[in-house]
Amino acid sequence: MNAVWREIWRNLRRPAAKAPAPRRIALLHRDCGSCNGCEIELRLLASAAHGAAAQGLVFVDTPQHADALLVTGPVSRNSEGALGSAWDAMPDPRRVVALGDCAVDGGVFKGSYAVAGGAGSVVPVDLAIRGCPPSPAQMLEALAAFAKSG
Amino acid sequence: MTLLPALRTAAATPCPPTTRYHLHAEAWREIAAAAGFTCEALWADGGMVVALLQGADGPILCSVAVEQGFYPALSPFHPPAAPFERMVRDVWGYVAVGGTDPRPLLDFGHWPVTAPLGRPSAPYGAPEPPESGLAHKGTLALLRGKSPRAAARFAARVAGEATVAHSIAFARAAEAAGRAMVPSRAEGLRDLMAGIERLAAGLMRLGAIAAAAEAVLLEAACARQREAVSTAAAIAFGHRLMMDAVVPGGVAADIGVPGPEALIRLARDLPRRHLAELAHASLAGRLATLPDAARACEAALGEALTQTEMLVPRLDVLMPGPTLFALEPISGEGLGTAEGPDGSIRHWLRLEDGQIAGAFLCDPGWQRRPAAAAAIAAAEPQDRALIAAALGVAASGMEL
Repeated sequence: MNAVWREIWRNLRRPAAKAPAPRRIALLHRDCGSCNGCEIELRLLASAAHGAAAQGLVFVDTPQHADALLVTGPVSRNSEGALGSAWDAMPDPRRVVALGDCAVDGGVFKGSYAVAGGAGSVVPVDLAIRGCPPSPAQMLEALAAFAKSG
Repeated sequence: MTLLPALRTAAATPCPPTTRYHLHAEAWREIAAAAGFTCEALWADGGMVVALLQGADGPILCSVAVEQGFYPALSPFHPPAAPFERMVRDVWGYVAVGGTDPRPLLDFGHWPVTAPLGRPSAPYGAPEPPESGLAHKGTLALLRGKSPRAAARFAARVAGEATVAHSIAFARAAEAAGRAMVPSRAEGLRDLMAGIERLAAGLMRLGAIAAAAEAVLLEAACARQREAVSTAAAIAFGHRLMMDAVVPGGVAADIGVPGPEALIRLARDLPRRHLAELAHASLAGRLATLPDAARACEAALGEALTQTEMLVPRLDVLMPGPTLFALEPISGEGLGTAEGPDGSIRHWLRLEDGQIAGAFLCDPGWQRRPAAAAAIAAAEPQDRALIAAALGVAASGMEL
């Protein structure tokens, strides 16, 4: 416990950084039939453990506040409608990230009667992050670069 | 075990480690109404409906022939059978006569076919907004016609939080069906991986409760420790969640050379006392009036602490030797069980010449999700997110 307070105190006393603040990006996550593997790693990325906020990544809950849609899962036929609705409700300019092999092209579930086959079958994808699942570090690197590019 | 008359007179075929009884409709109804059984799972296979029943002496399988698309329902006697009957109707097209819940579970008219595993036909009627089934990926259909080795990657993706446990249950079902042995070193490595997964799951659940209760220090501590667990798992088994590390016949690869040291360091450095004290200090007040959530929180913490202590003993009992045996391409059926983070996982496989002809992969979510939904609905509005985090059941496990 003391270590935590010491850390907070040190950070409070640290002089403000000279580097410009990173460009922020508001991400809206939509699970479109994922096995939960990508969610497990994504939740870790969103937690304090990886410093996603310092890299400009902000997670939001509503399409109206989002700059980019973060899609996981092979896009099950049952979730196509919900994904389309989220996209329709996002203001321009809006972008899409396919997170994980399933969202990139359906992954191992490609060809199933129950999946559309990746985010690209419903919305236009701007960034594909491969991996099954990608690690939080891989997500952070790709998303931080994506935020800067926007 | 004193067999019920309906079972004594039924044709029985082996389904290691248990038996499958082939019942007439009359005997099926008798078993349905008999006391002493609970229905754990229900699925269909080649014109039959199969029930996995738990009795005092362990699980048994009972099956009944489907007549012109109909079979007698179990749900009036066994309420947990209801979601399975809805699933059987959506995936195989077989209707439970007298079933308690006629609503669809997975098929809301968005698939290009109806009854994909029964007699597929073009969908009729307009699609409806799905109330469930968002995570349905058609996994059972993807297993068909593949060898257990080739199909293992689907079992590993039933539920990401229990990928190791599902892979073990699947491997055991394939090994039981194929009458195959597993090297003892592989058994030891499976136990080790399952323990690491349960450690991570305990931390994940505790972290989710902390997040819902806005206990930020505890949430951050859980995230940090979970990162340490995943990093050690990647060093030992080449994947942070150990996905695809367990395969039918053994394990895909032996533990990496730096693996044991990484796991010993993990067990040594995980601050067990600090975590327990922080959990109690952060959550005791918030959970005082929520006994279910408090119990789930204690269970998650206990799991994390116990599994941490088990890491080194499990490393110590690893036997030298091979890690993978070949599977003979034979015919037969088998049941595989593994303890996952949220309870027993059971997989059933029927092989024909070494290829999967029938399968069902049963996640504890089938039992837990209806109970969790009822508890969340009964809770005060301000407590619902916290109850949901404490009982947390991901959709993918049961929606397949």
